[in-house]
Amino acid sequence: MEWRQMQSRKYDTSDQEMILNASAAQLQDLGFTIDETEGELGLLVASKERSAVNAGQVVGSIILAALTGAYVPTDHHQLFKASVVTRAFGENQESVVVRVTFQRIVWNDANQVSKIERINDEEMYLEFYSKLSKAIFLEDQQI
Amino acid sequence: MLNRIALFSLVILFAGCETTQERLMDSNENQMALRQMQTRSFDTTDRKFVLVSVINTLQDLGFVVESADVDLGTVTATKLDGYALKMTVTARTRGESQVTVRANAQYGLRAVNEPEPYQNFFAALSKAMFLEAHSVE
Repeated sequence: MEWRQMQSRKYDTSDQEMILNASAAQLQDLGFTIDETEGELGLLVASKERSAVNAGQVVGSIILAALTGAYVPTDHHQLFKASVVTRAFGENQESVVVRVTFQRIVWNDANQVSKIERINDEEMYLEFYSKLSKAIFLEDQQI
Repeated sequence: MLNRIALFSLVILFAGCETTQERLMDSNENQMALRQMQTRSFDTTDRKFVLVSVINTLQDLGFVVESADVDLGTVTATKLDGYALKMTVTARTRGESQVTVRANAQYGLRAVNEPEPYQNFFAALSKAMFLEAHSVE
């Protein structure tokens, strides 16, 4: 339930296509490329690859290696995945509910998967929706 | 030895490391400027013609098209040539008489933020459609 609240927003418009287009543009703003779309279902799947190097982790690994001679692999790159689902909402379908989910897979410098996780930091969802709301000139509402 | 490690560690720290949020949201980028660099409008109302031209242009540039959706107006393609360049292009109707095309690309592990690759893409697209590309404010 908390998950759903964090990931969802409601917009007072019946124009689901406009919301989906704005979401696609938003994902492009964030540097995602769009992998799959299904207009009728209101679905967008996007991804992007970025560095996953974490200074603290690298420093820790170097110090450990210097002291013990054992090298601990550190995070190297990551794949972010985003899926946006939009659906008509309300008795007369007078609003649209948007739900976005972010996940990531992290590989270390030995090319092993070191993390597979759902991104559950509320800040990131807040930032996403604050940008989306600005783009469509509508206020988002918690559901 | 330990001094050297400390120095090296500091260098890495100051080399700047983004948080996961910054990496997910590309928060360090100037998104307005980027959007302008990545967008052009064309004087046509035929969005499907624009999408077909986008696909042809991407193929001419050596991309392999991975997915396309005419309803949403999106095309995604990847070019592998000793590097991986992945690009999404969207075409949307703008007002009564124009279609805007927006492209964004990822080169290996980073977003493409330089204007040249987009200029080249739009120049090729413009030629393919026999239409002039206008910058969008």
